[in-house]
Amino acid sequence: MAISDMTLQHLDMELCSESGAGESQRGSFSDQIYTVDPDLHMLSTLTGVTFQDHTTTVIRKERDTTVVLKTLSGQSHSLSFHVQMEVEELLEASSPTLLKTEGGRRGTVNRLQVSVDKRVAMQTDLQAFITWVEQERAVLCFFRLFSEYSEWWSLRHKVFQHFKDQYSDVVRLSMGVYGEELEFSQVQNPGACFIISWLVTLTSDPWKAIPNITLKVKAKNQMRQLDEKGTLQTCGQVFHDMVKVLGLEQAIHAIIRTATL
Amino acid sequence: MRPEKGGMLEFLQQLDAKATKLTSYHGDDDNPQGHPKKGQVQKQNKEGQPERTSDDDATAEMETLIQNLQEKKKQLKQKLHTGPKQVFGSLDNKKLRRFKVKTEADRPCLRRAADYIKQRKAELLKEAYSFAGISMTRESESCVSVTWGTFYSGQYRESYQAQIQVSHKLKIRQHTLPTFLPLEELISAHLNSDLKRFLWAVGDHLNAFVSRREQLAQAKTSYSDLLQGEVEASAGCDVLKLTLRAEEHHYHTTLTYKDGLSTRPTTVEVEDDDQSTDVEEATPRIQEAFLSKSLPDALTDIATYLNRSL
Repeated sequence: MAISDMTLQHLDMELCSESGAGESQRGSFSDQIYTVDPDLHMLSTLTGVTFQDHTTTVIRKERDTTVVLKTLSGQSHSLSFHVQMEVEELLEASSPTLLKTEGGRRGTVNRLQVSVDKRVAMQTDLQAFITWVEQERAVLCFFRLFSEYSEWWSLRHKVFQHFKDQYSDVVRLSMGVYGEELEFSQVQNPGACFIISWLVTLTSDPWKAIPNITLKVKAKNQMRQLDEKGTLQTCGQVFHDMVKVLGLEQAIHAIIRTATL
Repeated sequence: MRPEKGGMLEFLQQLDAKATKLTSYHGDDDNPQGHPKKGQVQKQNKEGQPERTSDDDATAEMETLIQNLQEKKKQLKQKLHTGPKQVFGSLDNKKLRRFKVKTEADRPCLRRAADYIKQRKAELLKEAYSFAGISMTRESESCVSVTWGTFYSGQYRESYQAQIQVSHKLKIRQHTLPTFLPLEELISAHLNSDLKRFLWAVGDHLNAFVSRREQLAQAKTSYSDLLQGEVEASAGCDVLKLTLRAEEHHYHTTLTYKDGLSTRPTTVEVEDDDQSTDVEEATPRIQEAFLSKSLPDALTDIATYLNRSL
């Protein structure tokens, strides 16, 4: 009998209510499973993928094969995914080269459907990647790359939010909390606006998630005319060099303090 | 006896039927000695007590067996009453959400059932990782076994394992990884600084190897006419030497895949036997096909081009 997470959470609440376990101790049902089972916790930490549901439905059974519909859903670094695939499982056959899945069967993915978190679903290169994954039925490649992509995405969000919190009067997230840009300028006499742009692009063949962090300066013409030494033009290169030496976080601290003093 | 299909209930019914049958022939609580079989006369010993025959011994043995089975039946019935199926029974998710713990007796039953379901769910979630290409189990306090799955063209392929010893420094204890994998490089670069990166890097190498191997196998099967003789391949399929045959022309081609992570060649060298113009024009086309497409697709293009031009 399939019992939903919500139902089990309700049952847990019933069981905990009289034992005095508070709201903070209970957590979500999936969190409980990952906390209690050390192997799952280890897998989640090391792969960057946290599965929250895995269901299998038998579509049809034939003499030598069984076709099942597998649904895997979960999160990778706070970005959700939902993978549905039709798998044809063969019984033991002569060739030893194919992977044995459960019960000694080997699997062929006949059809694959992937959907991801709506916060990133409209990214052009991610859409292209998912289209390729579905056409090639490249399940492993999806999890591999999505883990990498979501790690960068999550890191960018945390870093930008950190600087927004720390320098709330001078830092703006003009594209929203999940956006690709962080802006800062002086509060008084904002002659120039500095923009840190952090793109995470996906390249194909082989598929890789590549971060690209740059600093741009938007300044009025008058300011540019006064910039005889060309400081505004070289800001980008200076920032690039600072990141190499100081690391990203310290480089952003330094440039914000310098530019907004 | 093991539970047959139909579940615990059918098993108990069978157990009950067998116990009843044995009891009616060989005695029950009211008549522990049992009924003598029809036509059989009980013998007596010198003291006038019934003499123990081999039948009596068999009977006593049967009685012990019956008692044990009845005890087991009681225990199983008890478990069934408090197991997940009995606790949740035919309740659907909506009703379950309104379930209330009414008495103290409900609580442990419900706890056992919920724990059982959580355990099952944890097992299913662990199994999900094998579909994603990496799974792990803890062998002991100091040893973790990692399994990498490989995948190509919609099919799950073979898996590879390694045991990682967990002490003040991580070490690979035993493994089934192929020898051409740059394992020492990956260990020194990542194992003790970024385990996640190490695991994904090994997986990337393995999947790239499987892709090259399967492309070659597919090419050999589909293009045996175009390929002359055997294709020489390194153990990791990262250097391939093949000869393309078109009419009377032969193109000796060497494909090199750099790094072990490439699934398409990074360099293509072509030597032809003939110096004619047609052949010279063909060489860059052959190189471009191999550099930009998978091996089978490249051979499709090359075959089409060579058939048209020569």
